[in-house]
Amino acid sequence: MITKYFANVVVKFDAFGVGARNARIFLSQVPTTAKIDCKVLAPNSQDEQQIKVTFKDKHVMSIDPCNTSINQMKEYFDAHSRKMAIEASIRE
Amino acid sequence: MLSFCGISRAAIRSASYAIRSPSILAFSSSFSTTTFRFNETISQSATTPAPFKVDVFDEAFLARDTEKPLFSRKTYLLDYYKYLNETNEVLLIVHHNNLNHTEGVKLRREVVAAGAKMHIVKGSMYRLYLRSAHEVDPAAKGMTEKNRDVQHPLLPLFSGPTAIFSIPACEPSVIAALMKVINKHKEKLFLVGAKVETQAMSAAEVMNLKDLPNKKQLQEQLAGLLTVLGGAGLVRTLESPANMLYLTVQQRAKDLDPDAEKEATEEVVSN
Repeated sequence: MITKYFANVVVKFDAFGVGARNARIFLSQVPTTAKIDCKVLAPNSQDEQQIKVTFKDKHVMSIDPCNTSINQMKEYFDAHSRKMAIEASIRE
Repeated sequence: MLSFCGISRAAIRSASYAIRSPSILAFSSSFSTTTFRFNETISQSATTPAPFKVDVFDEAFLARDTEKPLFSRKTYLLDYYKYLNETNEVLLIVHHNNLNHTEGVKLRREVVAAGAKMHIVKGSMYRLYLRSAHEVDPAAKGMTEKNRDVQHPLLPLFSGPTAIFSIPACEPSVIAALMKVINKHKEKLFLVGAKVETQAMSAAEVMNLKDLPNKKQLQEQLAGLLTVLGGAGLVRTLESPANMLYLTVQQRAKDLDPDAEKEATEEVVSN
């Protein structure tokens, strides 16, 4: 996963739920350069589980960790990261 | 390495009650050369008197039929996790992120100062242990296959990078101190759940638990309350249903047979 362009990461998940595994594996890949905000929801909480990434160009993408695999998540976020990488290479 | 050896010593000691053995402890002084040291020990004990007491427990340990080889890392980890789970009343399960070496060392120091111990665990091995936690020896042959579909409430907490803060006695004050440590490293650590005595707790429940007074204080409060009430009428209150029943039955007996009491008293007098 290209994490170089992540500026802000918000993760909300239920630690006992289905999405916990994906959310935690995703978190473990996020580098210290991004600001991480993590919230562990209580079981049966009304809040919805989500992973929200704000890129350095202020673009926001969010995904539900319950219905997506870690590979799908990687592809989803890489789509924008790649765009930013191309823009950066053109600028140079 | 030093701390690792310390852990292995404790873990092996706890592997089973029947497995406690000084010669086994000698093996753990250097984990990588375990097998070598083992052979050395055997030859030593055959020729010269052993520097430690050899007892029947050695044989019990060596006779263990384990899934993986007895002196392998996996057997060791299962024994170690069993020891962790059974000797600590509270285990706080924490997700750790991007911890570098210096931060790790600093964190460990802070956790020890708070009255607990930090262990980085291997999630897959811990899950394996949890599935056969009800067995006498979770590392024994066939346990993995037998308990493959067993569900344990703590299982979902061991995916991803996981650390455990182990607290030997259920002390809410220690939990509160540890929560302070966790909050200090906000981006790198967060609580996902806990094992408190025999039940699994979510992070929110642990937050409520840490505000409670100590178990001992609570017991003292209860004892105090009982002594106060005991003098005033607790005993009477507890006795009253039995007394009521006795009186009702006695009254009923009198109603049915008014002469019975007279006869009974006459019998007593004649005797």
